[in-house]
Amino acid sequence: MLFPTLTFGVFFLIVLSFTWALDRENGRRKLLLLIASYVFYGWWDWRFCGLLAASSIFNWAMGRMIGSMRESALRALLIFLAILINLGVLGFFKYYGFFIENLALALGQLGWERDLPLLQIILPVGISFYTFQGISYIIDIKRGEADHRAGLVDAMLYISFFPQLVAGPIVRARDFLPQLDSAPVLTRPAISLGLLLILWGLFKKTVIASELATGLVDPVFYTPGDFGGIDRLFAVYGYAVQIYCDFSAYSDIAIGCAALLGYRFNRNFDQPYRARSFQDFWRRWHISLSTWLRDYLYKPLGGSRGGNASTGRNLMITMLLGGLWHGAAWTFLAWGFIHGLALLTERAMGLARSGRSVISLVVTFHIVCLAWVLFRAPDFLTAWTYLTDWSQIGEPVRRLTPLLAGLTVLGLGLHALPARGIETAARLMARLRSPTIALITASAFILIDALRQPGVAPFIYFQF
Amino acid sequence: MSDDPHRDDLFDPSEDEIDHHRARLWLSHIVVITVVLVAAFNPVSLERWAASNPPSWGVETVRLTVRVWTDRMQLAGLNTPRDWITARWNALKSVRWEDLEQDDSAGEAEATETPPPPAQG
Repeated sequence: MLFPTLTFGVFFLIVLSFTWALDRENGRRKLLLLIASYVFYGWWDWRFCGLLAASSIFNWAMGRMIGSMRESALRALLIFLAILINLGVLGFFKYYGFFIENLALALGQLGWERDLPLLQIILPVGISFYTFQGISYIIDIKRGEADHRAGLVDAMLYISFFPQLVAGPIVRARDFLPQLDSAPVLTRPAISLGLLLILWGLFKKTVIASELATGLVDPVFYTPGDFGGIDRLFAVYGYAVQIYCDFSAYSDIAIGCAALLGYRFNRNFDQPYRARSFQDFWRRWHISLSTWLRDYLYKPLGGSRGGNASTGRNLMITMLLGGLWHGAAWTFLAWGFIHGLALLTERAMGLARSGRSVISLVVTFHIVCLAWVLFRAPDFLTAWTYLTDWSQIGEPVRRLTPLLAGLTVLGLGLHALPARGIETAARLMARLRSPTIALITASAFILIDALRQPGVAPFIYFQF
Repeated sequence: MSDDPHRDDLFDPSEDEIDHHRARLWLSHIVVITVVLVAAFNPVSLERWAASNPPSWGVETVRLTVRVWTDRMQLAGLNTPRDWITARWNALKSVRWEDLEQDDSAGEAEATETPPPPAQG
């Protein structure tokens, strides 16, 4: 069930109506949301509902045991086991094929060919996201930041809450569980923000991201050697805009849906291409993942407490694993490596601390774009061809049209808008009467529907 | 206001129960009116949804009902704004750089064309 579809619209309206009908009955309200979340997830493949339930129940049980124990070797062992099993499940579904394939290749090169058990494993949608939430649940309980006495329904709802289940944002246990303690309270600004985020997300996904993907990015990345310099340059810029509009749209719609149901998620994007350094970029891009990696990986590894060498090592491990989190491919690892290297260079040269100019913004953006080539290309060969095969460089423009160039500029131009523009608009909207807002909302829906392509491609981050 | 830089203070709830009920009522009005307006003025999306689903009694009922409603809308001319937007958007999509160059050169030719001599007499 994809967000920008009528099926999801009808599903969400039903859930919204029933949850607010159970306004003061928090227990039943949560149960209803839990059932709705499993219906939402089962719409893709009902078989994976069992995995989701098992993961949730396991984390809840481990959390209860860990939380009720005092500091001891057994407690440390349980924490280690809980994290290991979470990562083991993720590793099996996501990285087993990749590992076996590369192992077979390595053994072959050493002359020790073996028939290794290759399995065709279907990747359950959203497994990377809900596994990370499960780990967050365990660690937050260990740190005393989340209550280990949370009920089973609360823990299951935290891990499977449908707006963020399949593509984030990665919500922290310490942020979400307290919201389940009592029935949520609605405010007009929060409703306005929810509606605006949903509309804005739909526009970014169905109009900007989809047009750029089908018109420019997909064809050029499919056979980059056939296209000239301008097509290739704009396809990279186009992909930078596409992935931002696609992923931030999902986050916006998720935050908006949660807001209408009375729950708060933190923002996940903050005009990332405004960043004037890589450190700044990671404060603005996929904030829920970058803060997760910072708090649950980088800092436990030692963070920047040691010398330069250990800080560099910790940073590189974090970025490499962050890259691998996106998918089981060497290209994602290389993407993480480029970001790690850029962060290390900034630290070594003291660039992250110094005042940054527009030149820093342009340089940061172009290195980010260079890394996107690796992220988007299906393999190194395609990425290499993209960046180095200039035999067709003089070819006339074939894919880039004035509209696609305009959409690319628009997507980048969004970063020049005042920060927190949507929040300001939501405050203004909250003062209007309901028929006026309904008229604005309906007109926006019809406008977006008139501009969108028939059908809708899944969000990019579904594959992660 | 929260210390978390990524948290919106718009979410900070009111303590007042009456405010909550007013906000809920406000949301209900918005949702109901929006759904009615979208269903009335955008039946195409329902038709598209029906076409994308395997035929069944329910889907066919929706499709046929929406078909009749779309025809009525067309007769009344209420589909014109939406169709106009889609047509303009599709026209924009089909524009190529050569078209712009031709437009420019046509414009330049018009501008450099010698004006006719003023009528004598």
